[in-house]
Amino acid sequence: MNLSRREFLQMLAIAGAAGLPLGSGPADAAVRAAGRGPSDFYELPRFGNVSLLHMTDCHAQLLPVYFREPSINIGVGSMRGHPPHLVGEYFLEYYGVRPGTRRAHAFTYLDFVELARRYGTLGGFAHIATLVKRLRAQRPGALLLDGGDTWQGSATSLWTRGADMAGAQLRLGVDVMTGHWEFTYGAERVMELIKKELGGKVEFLAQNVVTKDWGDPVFKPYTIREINGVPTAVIGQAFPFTPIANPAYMIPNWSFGIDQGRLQKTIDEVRAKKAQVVVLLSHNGMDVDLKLASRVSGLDAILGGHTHDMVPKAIEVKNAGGTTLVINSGSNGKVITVLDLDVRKGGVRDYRFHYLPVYSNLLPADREMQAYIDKVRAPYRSKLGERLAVTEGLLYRRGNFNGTFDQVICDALRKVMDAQIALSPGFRWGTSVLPGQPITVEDVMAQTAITYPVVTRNAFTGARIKAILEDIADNLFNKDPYYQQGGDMVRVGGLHYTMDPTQDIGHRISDMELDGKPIDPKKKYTVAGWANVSQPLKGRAVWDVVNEYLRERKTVRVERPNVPKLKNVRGNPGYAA
Amino acid sequence: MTNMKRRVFLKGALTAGGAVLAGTLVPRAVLAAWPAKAFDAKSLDAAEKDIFGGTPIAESGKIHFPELPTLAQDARSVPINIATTLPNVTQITLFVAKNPRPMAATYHLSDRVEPKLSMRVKMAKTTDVVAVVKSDGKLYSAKRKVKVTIGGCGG
Repeated sequence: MNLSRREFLQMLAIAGAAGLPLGSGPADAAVRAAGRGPSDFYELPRFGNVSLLHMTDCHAQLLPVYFREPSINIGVGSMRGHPPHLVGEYFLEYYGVRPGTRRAHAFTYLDFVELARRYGTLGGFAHIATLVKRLRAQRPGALLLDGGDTWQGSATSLWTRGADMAGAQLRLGVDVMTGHWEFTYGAERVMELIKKELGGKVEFLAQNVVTKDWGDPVFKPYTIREINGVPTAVIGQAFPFTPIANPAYMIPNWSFGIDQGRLQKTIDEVRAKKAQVVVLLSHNGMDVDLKLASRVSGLDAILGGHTHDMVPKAIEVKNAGGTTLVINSGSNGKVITVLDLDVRKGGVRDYRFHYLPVYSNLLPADREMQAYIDKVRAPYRSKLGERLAVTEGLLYRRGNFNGTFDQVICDALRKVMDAQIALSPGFRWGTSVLPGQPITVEDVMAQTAITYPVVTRNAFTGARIKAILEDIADNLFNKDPYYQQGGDMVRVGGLHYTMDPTQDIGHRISDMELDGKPIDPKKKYTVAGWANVSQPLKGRAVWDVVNEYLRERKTVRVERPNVPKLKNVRGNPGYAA
Repeated sequence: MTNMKRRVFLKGALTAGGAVLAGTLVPRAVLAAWPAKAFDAKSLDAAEKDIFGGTPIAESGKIHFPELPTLAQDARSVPINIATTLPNVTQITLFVAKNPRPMAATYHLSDRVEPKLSMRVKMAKTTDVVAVVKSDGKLYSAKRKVKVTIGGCGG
């Protein structure tokens, strides 16, 4: 049997549309003949009596996306070589995933453009909705938990101040959520969306957000739901470093922290209330979750987010009270995960964990959700669709250092702002654009849609620039996860440097150069940037600057992203460049 | 206790133990014992020497900092709790190692006070907070690092 690629794709699409398990019949033969693995990931054998569905960090991507996973995600100290710090071939080998398959494409950067063209986009709320409905039909009573970073990351979420996403969550049937970027809409708006839009149908939980004055809880810390007769407690854990990583002035009266002690008390409280399953819906980030799981007892699982890590197997962490499963469910709506628990005699006896890539051409759009998405996008459609330029190469962001889209932003900042050096934040969100595709206003907004977008131009000494880089590097590569703040390294334009991630603060950055000349610690340089967290600023938004630059260029070609020269990373399974 | 007026409670607390806290109003009786030199000392070593007169200090695992942040949310006001299971505690002193003036507070406790304190301090940069506890007349200490970062870029 000799199938052309187009025929093969058609077969897959038909199989997916019909909801057929690709375990038998002609479609499966086609898959085998084409040398691919089984492609309907979505018919899962039932297991146990309590099921939790988890999604996180969709960053307001209502529509299906391309999103390239990192080729550099270095782990240092005890984190070196362990999930989630595995990229590319290391990842495939560790998890036994065959190269070139749909799973390989969803989970790694390998052959990204070719496989993106073969397999299509991932995510999209209409496709997620279809999958969630199928999973719920297979698993009556299942709860859908949303780890947050849901209301931010797109033009429409910014322009509706999160309302488009709250509406999508309601229609998807999210049961419980926690947050991080949600807080960048300000305390008042957060409360308004929770109370008015979500109206109690989606519970917003956070045990680690309290008032600054008296330490009173701001949100409900936990909920106990009965699933098939089993009392199941979900505790919320918002991003503990929100007022550091994002503007504290947006949430002036709220205090955040990891709050391990209070978490233990909360676990003990829900156990005393006879919860037989206790899970933490966390926005800590994977490294923090792994450490936390070893320190607290009584959690059956931590369903984590923030660091956008693809981790197809649950990690079993031992602690004083037994074992806690730690999972992380990627980003951008690319995966939905399923945790099935067998609960008997008052506790969890066994589990199964499924990591499901949401391929939009295998899951037909849910009609109701699609109609909703079309409706919320309608007022903005023409604006979103403006074609600014065409890209010759792949544009992406994710990775410890500059991605190609960051390079475009840095180039735009330097050019339009007339600065020697550009600094652009190392956010982990930001979708990808394939070679030959137009770059639209919507694409630029998917890299920049924040509530503090104003661009700045400052004169900094070389010493100050080094201090900034050292500080941010320590938030990424500190050997103790409790001192990591999340995000990736700040992106740089103009500046070149050498980085040793294995060193301590003050000793990671060296050989800073501008235009081939060493940076003078005492000399001042003009530095353009955006996303200042210290105070509200008036001025031009970063998307205006990038749009202007792109409109003038018409075509974009990024030769090579400006990644620092790296030391002591050879053989590190988090490094594949 | 819930019905006790705040003023009455404060009076009771001061009778129970005298508190000396940098930069706040203190009763005159306590001012007499104000360890000015220690509070003005510019290094941790000098401050410890001034307040404890060179008495050796042993590290202890029985002094805790409940809910101490690893990263300061706001370096101008970092919440610090100190608690200890050491017996017969008569004094607890807090230093912020790399502050321009490291000694932040010293508390004298009577035997009617539980050795558990909460306060907020300003931190100049990433450094250790150090608690020194006097128990049965001997000195014990513990320290933890709190990071002060310029922030941003997370997510």
